[in-house]
Amino acid sequence: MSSAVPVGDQTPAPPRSRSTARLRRALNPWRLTALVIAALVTVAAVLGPLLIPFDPLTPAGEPFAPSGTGGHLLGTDSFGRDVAARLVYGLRTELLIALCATALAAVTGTVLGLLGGWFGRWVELVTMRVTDVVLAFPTIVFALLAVAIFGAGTTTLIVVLGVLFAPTYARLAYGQVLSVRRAEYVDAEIAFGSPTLRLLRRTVLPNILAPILVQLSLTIAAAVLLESGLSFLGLGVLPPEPSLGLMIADGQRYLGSEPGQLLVPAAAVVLTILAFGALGDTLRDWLDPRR
Amino acid sequence: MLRYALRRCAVGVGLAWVVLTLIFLSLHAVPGDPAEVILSGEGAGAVTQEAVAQVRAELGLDRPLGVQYLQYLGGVLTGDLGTSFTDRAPVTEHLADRLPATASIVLVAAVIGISAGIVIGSWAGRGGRVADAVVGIGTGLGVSVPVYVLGSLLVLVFALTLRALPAGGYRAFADDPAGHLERLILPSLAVAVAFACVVARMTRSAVVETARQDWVRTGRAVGMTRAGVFRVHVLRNALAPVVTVSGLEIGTLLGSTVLVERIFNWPGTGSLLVDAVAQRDYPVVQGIVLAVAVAFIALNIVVDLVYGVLDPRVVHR
Amino acid sequence: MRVHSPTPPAGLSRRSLLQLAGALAGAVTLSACGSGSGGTGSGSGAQTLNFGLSGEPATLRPGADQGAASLFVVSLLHRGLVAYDTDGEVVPALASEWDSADDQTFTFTLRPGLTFQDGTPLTSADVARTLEFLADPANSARIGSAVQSLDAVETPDETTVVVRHSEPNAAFLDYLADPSAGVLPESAFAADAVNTVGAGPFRMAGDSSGVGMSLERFDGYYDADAVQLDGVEISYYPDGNARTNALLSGEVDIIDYVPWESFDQVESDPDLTLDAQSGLVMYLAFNVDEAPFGDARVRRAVAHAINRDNAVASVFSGNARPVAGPPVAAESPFHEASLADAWAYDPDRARELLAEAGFPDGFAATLLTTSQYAFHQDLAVSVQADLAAVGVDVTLDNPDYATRIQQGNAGAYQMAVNGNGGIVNDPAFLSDFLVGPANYKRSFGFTDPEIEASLAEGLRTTDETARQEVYRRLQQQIVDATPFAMVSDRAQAFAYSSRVQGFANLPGFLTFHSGYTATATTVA
Repeated sequence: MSSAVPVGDQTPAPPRSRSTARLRRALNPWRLTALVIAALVTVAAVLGPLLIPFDPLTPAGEPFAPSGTGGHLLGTDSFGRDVAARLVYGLRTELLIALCATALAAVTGTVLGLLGGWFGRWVELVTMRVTDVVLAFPTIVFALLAVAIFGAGTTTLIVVLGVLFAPTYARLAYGQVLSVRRAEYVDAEIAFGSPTLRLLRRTVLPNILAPILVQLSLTIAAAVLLESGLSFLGLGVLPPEPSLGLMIADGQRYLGSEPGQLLVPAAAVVLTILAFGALGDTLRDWLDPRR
Repeated sequence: MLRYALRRCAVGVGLAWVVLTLIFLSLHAVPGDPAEVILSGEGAGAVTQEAVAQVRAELGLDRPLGVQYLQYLGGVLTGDLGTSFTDRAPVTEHLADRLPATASIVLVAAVIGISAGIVIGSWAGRGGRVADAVVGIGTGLGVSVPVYVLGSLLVLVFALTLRALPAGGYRAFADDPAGHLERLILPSLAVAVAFACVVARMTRSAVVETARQDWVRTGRAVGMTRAGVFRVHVLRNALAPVVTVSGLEIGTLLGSTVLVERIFNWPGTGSLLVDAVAQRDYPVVQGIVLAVAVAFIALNIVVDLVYGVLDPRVVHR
Repeated sequence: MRVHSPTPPAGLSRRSLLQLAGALAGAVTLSACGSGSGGTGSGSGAQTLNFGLSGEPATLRPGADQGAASLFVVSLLHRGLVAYDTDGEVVPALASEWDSADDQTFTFTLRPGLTFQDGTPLTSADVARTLEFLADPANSARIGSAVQSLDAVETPDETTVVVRHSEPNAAFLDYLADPSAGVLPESAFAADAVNTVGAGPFRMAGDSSGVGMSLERFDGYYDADAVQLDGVEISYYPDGNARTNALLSGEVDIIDYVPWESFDQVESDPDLTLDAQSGLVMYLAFNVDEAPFGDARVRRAVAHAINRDNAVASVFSGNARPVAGPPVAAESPFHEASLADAWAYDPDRARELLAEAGFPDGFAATLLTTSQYAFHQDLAVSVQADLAAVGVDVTLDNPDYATRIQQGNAGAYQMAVNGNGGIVNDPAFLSDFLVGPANYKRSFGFTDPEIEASLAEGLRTTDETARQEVYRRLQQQIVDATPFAMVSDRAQAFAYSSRVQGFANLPGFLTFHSGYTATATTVA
């Protein structure tokens, strides 16, 4: 993301030096640690499969081999599959789902909010009420029905998460558009007779983008949290595909005898959510001039 | 104000109708026949087509979809949510059984979450760098731990290892108040932690922001104590966004306690919902969704109105 | 409010194992002499058994098969002419004696003065009404297919019932001992009636949706004096972990359906007894109407490709036994040792068979399972890896259970994971796996006239040696046709604290009828 993007309400882009100062303030040691974790998590998800010599789907040892035996860094699961390999591939699935769902939510939500905020009247009524309906629909029901109708799996999951998170963006964009509409530079463009679509794309969108971009990493964190919950209920990623939520659900069953089966993926989920949450907070403090 | 409230209520009723229609239609689009589920146990009895047809007729599923929809809608308008497919009891009876269980978790969690959140958040907001950092890390962690992981760990520690509290289960408050409360502690705690963290974060930033306002400095300048200023001006003004967040959070919780209910074997609406979907018990699913949606919509309206009272700058159009 | 008690020791010592064995032996002895010893009454306070049940029973429908939890409750509420003892032998219940010379005409003598729990007298007319209801195909009764041969029920007097079959039915008494064949009052047959009033040892005293139900001793039960328990408090624990935790923390005295992952944990607690029996069987069903699976060689190839030891270890934590032949348990007198390994794990043989059938490079197929039950899903994952090794590329189809049942009934699958039991331990149960209208428990579209003939003959044959021969032939026919690919049985376990004495898990498929032993159970 570029700091040249004009930020926030009617505030013009802050000078670079103030921006860096704010970044320095936003980045306390704790957040720096979290950002390093986020980076490590991403690197592990992208490169990890190259570093771990096991396949996440093929049994490669005795069930519940302790960590360190037979080259299994974190031991094996109930099928004798390498836990480290499943963790890394699971992380990859998790992030992929979270990223796709977030992108879907951000695009649809922003478009809805943009249109509703700009055109007002019945467009506003339709778009904003659609988001209200989604919000009023209990999360679990939505996921249960979607899975019952379309079958569980990665695609269903992405769509479910995308739809569930879209209202956040719709409301965010809607609020921003309402204030941008009143800005003088927008009035000027309207006076010049720019085509509406072009106006929305070239002028309005860039000016409402900052808070939306900030929201992205928070949504990623929320998506990871929700995905693991849905997988725990059997509504998420399908076995044998590795996913952190599934690993936790399996680990839950062995909590009495093999607590590591729960604790390892749970720690990975917590760290991931923590890291992306901190990334979002940092971005917000940096980019949002009101703080 | 009154006109605004009435208009919001009218829109709310419309929303509830849309939600109800969507759930009705999508349930019928779900594969899996309620009659076949009812007739298929785990053993080896044979299910004949005649028996399936007979049960479908008993359940009224043989009528055209439009007729079923209108009949259902008519029932809802007269306060009749239909009868459960699986046990033929009125859905309102099921709701009366299960809503209090879910409500007690949500209520206790909300009380703990809001009070702990406000205390922690205001401490972080004015307690200096160390307090801020500690709370920052703590709340960051708190919102990141999935509720079912936290719940499992609570069971492991407090029920199985320390044997201080029951691992789960439910007693109706009316029959056994002590037993009810004893079993309520762990599930409420599991839900309250994330709740408290969200409230704490919101309180902290609201407090920090409010403390920067001119009138707070004025308060100090006219000789009020730091604590006095905080209580009278800062906290009261910071409360509005906290109320909003709490209200929305409660609304969301009402429909998403299923994970906690499962871990603690708590017979709330969440577990009933999952079972009802699995059993294709359409009237029960519809009833719960309607109840949760209405509660959510009503909470939103209340939150908006309270926000208006707390923050007079808000003008309702 | 808080109850502090010492933490149980973690490890499993030899001594605690011995204690455990002792407790088990004690339990068996007690239950064996329990019903005969007469009522000593509940001397010190009320005896209540706190039971953690694996699910909330569906609304009970007369004669229906509604799953394990319902069947358990039915075995407490209802009683038929005959029942099972702890060894799985048929024993007298409402009928004090019966007589049959040819296994075709049965004459039952009812005990005098029987009453239902609502106070109405139970007479031979009620027995006749119940049997006719169960035999009517329109009612889809659990034992319906087994009583199709029912011809007439006569009631010469109030305590005599004569049942005539159109041909001999050697397994009739076994089926009649099923809890679902309990004798019902007239009121149970009304439309929308809830089937909770019966003639069993316990009556419904309270029912709280989603929480549990209270049962109390029925003093009009024919053997009420021998029943030591004053009541059974049932709480529902659908989640396996929550159920185990409830037992471990002392919240309940006994649980059913112990999760396989928790066997070790339960066994290592010296205060708990794990009472396991080989229960249902797990297998793959085939849609023989779909291209490759119409060929018996392909089905046999799949059966040979399954690494059963792996499946048992990873799906059931080792608490199951591989089954590589027809599903007649080793304990059964009809078990055919020479065929027990007919489908043994042999990937090379599997590849050969596939090549013979015209698939030297394998093929792609889907395997239907359900996300609702972890062990169904895990078994599919295990089998998927095995089949990949012989070139069959399997995609899992993983809907929830309701959809899975519908797809199974409609044949919307290629292969499907199944877990089922018979109703009786007699091999007559195999008919439910092999003949009758389409049903998700059976391979879709599979029919084999020879197998059907053998099954019918087995039921007709009353001479034990001759039956043995018929069922040996049947098992050979099953091996040849390979209508399904057996994987394993699975242990079904109850677990209870040392307070509970006299409860026993019934052998084999009868495990879900174990509520019968509650009449001999005591709580210290």
